[in-house]
Amino acid sequence: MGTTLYDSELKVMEVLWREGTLTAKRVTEILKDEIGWNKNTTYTVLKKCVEKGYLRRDEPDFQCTPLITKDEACQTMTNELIDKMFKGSSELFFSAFLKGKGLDDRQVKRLMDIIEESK
Amino acid sequence: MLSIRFDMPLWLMGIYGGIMAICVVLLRILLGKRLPKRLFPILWSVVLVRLFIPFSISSPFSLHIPLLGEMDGRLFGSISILQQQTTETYEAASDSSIEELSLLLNSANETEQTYTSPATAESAPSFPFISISWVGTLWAAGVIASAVWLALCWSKCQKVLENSASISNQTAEKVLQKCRITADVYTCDRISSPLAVGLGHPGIYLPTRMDFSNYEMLTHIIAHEAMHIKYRDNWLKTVMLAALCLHWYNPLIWWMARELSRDLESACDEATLSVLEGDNRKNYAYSLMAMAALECRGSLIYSSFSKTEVERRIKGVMAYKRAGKFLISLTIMLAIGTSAVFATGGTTFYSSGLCWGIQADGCYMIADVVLNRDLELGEFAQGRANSTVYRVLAESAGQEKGRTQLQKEIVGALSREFGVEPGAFQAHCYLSIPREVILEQYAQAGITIKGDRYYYDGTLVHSITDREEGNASYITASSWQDGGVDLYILRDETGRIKEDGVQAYLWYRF
Repeated sequence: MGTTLYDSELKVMEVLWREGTLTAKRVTEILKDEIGWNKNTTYTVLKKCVEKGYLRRDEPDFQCTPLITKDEACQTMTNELIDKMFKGSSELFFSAFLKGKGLDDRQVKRLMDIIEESK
Repeated sequence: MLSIRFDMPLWLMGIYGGIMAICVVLLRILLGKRLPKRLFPILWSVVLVRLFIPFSISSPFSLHIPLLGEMDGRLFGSISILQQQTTETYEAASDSSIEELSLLLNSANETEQTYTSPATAESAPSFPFISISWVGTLWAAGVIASAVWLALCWSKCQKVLENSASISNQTAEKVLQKCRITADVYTCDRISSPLAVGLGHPGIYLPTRMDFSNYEMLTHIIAHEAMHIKYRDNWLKTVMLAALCLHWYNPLIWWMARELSRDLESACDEATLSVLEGDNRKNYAYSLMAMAALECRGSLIYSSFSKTEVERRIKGVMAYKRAGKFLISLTIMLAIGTSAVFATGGTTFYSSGLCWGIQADGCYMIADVVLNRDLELGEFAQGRANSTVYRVLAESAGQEKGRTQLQKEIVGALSREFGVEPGAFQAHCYLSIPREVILEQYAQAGITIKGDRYYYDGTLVHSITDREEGNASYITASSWQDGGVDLYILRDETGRIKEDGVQAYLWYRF
């Protein structure tokens, strides 16, 4: 599993990692809600994930089961991709942020000072 | 009062555009923190008009850039006279022609230099002789190369955006509705910062990897991109790119492109904050940081949300205040004023000579008049000007008016004749006293003439210089091998010999 996940594939996998095994229909509903993808988009990405071996699709109702864990994905992915993984809260974001290549520790600290100190 | 033409050369448009760009950035440095940021994209569009349309408006407020002297009509006039003379010399004396020719050239150069500054006199003749053809070819090649390069960039972007998924996100739709913008929203795997793309039907492209559960950030991003669409920033950028193709050799225009795209971001940050309710500065600044963390990448082609200068933008965001009515009206006035200055500030070359060597009987002054700015003076302008100046000189005959006075009167008369402000004309008067008057004046001062030699109090004069005080051009200047006295004569500006204006020094031959 050396290949990196595309961002859309990552979005799909994140849903499955969070919720466990789901029907394909349910995945489309969740992503419709979260991002606003229409169901065809999600189906296309699911199909890609199956082709690449990230998940398994079973009858009935196209039950989708992740074949790789988040940790495995993290290990095989480059540092850049770890940055893509952050979710939710700003603390988590900033910890992911520090590894980001755009801004380094010092810059982030300075920017935060600027934001917090201005009236 | 206004005179408009459409013949400015492209390179001059580029130079003026560059100067304007520097002015806009200076204005931003000086007042940028206090003024609404939308002012700057407006000023940039004015600069873009300058870069594309070869208009030249001359007004009483136009700047007089010395460069304009280069293409002076007088200069060309003297060159053609020079050519005439040289051909005549060739015909007249073919054997000793070379020496005479160089003499003639020298004297011609000297007379030019007395009327124009040395720098223009030196550079001017070389200018018309630059071969236009290879410069033009090189320029055209550059235009094509830049256009091809931009087209390649564009098709690369199109390829990247091909694999995008259209989305219908409720948060995004709500924001777009509030901004009164219709635009399709897409997610794309291969971009790292949000983009507003397209001219006719713009779309907003979001990086798939961004956090869609962070509604606040999503709101900020969509609102920002919606502002790009609302203010047609992509149009402005497209025009900017076209200007880059035309003026590809001008580094100031490239610099301008960068400054313009920065100012667009700042202006959209400001517009976004004004659309959002309440004080969102802090949260918006954090959104900016979050997007910068995804990846810092700038793109000249498309409006993008995060650029390398997050810090600058965050500072700008934190300094944001809602502008009051006073500030807005001040800004509108500033925009109009600056545009007017930009429009009429720089003019193209014009022929500045109007009258040349006008003289009237009884008046000891010769007058020249040049135009200070490009003016349409109507039909028979030259003839009317000549007779106006002649009238002033003739009326002044025998009145011993000073140069300053006379010049003022000439300018005033021309201003009335043509209905233009006096500042548009510049008169130069210089002494020209008839020989018999000079001799009369000399006689009164105790100088007599016998044959071709002067005598002062009966002593043979060794040398004589006669000039106006403070003026280097001589009315008389001669010297001989023998004689016993050196004479220095000074006149006032009316041409009269000053009291104690004749000074004599004994001269001994060693």
